[in-house]
Amino acid sequence: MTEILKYIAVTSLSGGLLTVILFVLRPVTRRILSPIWQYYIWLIVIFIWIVPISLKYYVYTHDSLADYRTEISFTESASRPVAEMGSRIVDKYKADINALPEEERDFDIINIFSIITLVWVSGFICILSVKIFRYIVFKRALYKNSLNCRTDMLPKQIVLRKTNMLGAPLMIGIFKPIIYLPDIDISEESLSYILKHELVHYKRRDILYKWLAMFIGCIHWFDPAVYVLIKCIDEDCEISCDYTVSRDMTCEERQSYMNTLLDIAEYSVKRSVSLSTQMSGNKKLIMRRFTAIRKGKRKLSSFGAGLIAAVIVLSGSVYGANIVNDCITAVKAEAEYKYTTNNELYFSYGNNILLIGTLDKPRPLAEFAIIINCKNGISVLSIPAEAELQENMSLRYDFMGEKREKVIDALENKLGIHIDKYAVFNANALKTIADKTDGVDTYIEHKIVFEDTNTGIEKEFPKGINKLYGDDIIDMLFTKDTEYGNAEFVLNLFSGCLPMLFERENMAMIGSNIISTDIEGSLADYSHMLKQACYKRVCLMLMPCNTTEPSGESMTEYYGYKQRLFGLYDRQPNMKKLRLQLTDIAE
Amino acid sequence: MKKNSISSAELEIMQVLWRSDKAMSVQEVHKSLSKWAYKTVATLLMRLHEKGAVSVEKIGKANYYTAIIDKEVYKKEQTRTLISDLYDGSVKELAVSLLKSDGMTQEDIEDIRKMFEL
Repeated sequence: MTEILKYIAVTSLSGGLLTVILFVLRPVTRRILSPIWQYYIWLIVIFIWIVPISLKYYVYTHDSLADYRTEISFTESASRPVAEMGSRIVDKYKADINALPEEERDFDIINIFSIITLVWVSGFICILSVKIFRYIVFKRALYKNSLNCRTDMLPKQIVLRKTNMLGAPLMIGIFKPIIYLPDIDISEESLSYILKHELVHYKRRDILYKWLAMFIGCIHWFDPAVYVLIKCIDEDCEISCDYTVSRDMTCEERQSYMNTLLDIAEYSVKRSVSLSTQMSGNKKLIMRRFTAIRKGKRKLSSFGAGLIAAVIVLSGSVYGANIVNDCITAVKAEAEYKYTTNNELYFSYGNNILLIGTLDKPRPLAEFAIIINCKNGISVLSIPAEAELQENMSLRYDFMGEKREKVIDALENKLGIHIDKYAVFNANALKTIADKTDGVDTYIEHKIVFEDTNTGIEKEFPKGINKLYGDDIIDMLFTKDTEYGNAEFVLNLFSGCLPMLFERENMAMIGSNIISTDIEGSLADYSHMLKQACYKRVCLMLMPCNTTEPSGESMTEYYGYKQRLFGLYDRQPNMKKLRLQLTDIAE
Repeated sequence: MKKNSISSAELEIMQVLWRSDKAMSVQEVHKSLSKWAYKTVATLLMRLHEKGAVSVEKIGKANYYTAIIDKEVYKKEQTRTLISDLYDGSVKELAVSLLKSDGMTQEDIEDIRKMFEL
């Protein structure tokens, strides 16, 4: 539901921005562009009101194993200050809510969004129905109070009728258009001008154009700029129609045309029953129309100018739309991260993200997992190969297959936390990240000895802080042969490199190595909140295992009971100490 | 005739008068519209007279009222107003007109004629 709101907001803001720009520039564009260009340029604007354009471009890097693609947003620099401002607003809101006693903190952002969506939908439905209803009543009443009229000047599809209900000729109807004439004597000549005018409207399908504008007006009923749009299109429609009608006329014919219009206007004014208190914007409009008629056919050079104007307008609007889109995304990501209470779910992304790394050998397995609670911190989940979530279900083997949803459910039950979103990524991305920064400093609890998979040589890392490179990390993560098990190592490793891992460009790299996920949007958008999370707490969670065959003696101490996220590890004072040590380092 | 602004209550009185082909007294009108008090009917008829919708003639002691406005003309006026209001409301966005002239006066037309030498 928030997606709909976001769509409406983005299109409304960027469309509105472009509309206002063009409206302000109108005196200028009227001079450069021919009236027809001026009329159709609003189609570009309408396009922006409908389509939320967002452009990203890609930066490609290559390393020995694969190509990585980093996604960069077109207007990121422009949207950051807005995101920060949005962040401050959300903080203020959160502070206000937290100032309330706990029982009253009911009101949350998702309720606000729902209310806003509801208001928008009701407005849209009401306004649209009223307009259509009025239209139908009008059509019927007009038809009933009119008489058919014969003429040879119109194609058969168009019906001509006379009525004393109107002061000026009118064409109505999308599929079966009817032209209504006022009930006065009209000379042949005047009639021909009137019908020529209406015929141009008919051939260009102007009524369709106006219905489109009306529909946009209904969707964006809350945006004042949309009413500016409708009025501008209306005016430019008439001006361009006159232009087309009179383009190839002689001077005398133009005089007659203008006289016809004025005579109709005079009649309309005299018999007016309208209580409309519109200021004579209509006088100005008629003057503009006459000026355009007088000016006559524009020279061809205006085509070039028109093209340039269109290009400038289009690129400006695309840029504007992008800024708006990025701003909204950024603010939304900030808001989602910052606003939480009581571990309940907010927004579509919730708080708990499960990140699973995998290597492709010999078949895709879930090798390690990180659970990020965006508010509280990060838990590294160590998965022994034998760990069973429930009967015949193993996280490691079954996560990558069709049973994924069931696996996630079982995992939630086992751990007692709710997984909101998951992402599976190719762990080789870690290698690239590690190598980018000239190795990762990792604290190693016990001496580690293992076999390097590339060279076959035994590698040794002593106790203490070691610099690990990409290859080492991958080997150590995925090898089974350590004396005390991978658990602590994994914890240490991730604590050391998480802040760097969650840098935006590195998240983007992970993001472009995603194998599957149910997170909408780009992982890089969460970079900021992930970084914040890893500075709060990092600790280890051990996957409970049902096996009776532990892979190492020291393993039996760790397994056997369920551990909650960020819970206390009473039975392993060492672990507790370890955790405290690491968070100290991190901060 | 100036624009009618007959209320719905007054309209019911007009319907009664239109149905009859002769002048009616207050009492006679009240007989057809007994839901209202006699005084109410009398007041409404007086208002209608002020608006110029009915004419009054004293025959003996009582006032006799006749409808002046033609029923068909009234209905047509109402329709015209309806159509005009609907058009100004939303239909003008959905149809194309040769021109719009709300808010314009005869002077405006003259100005334009002068300006463009028409």
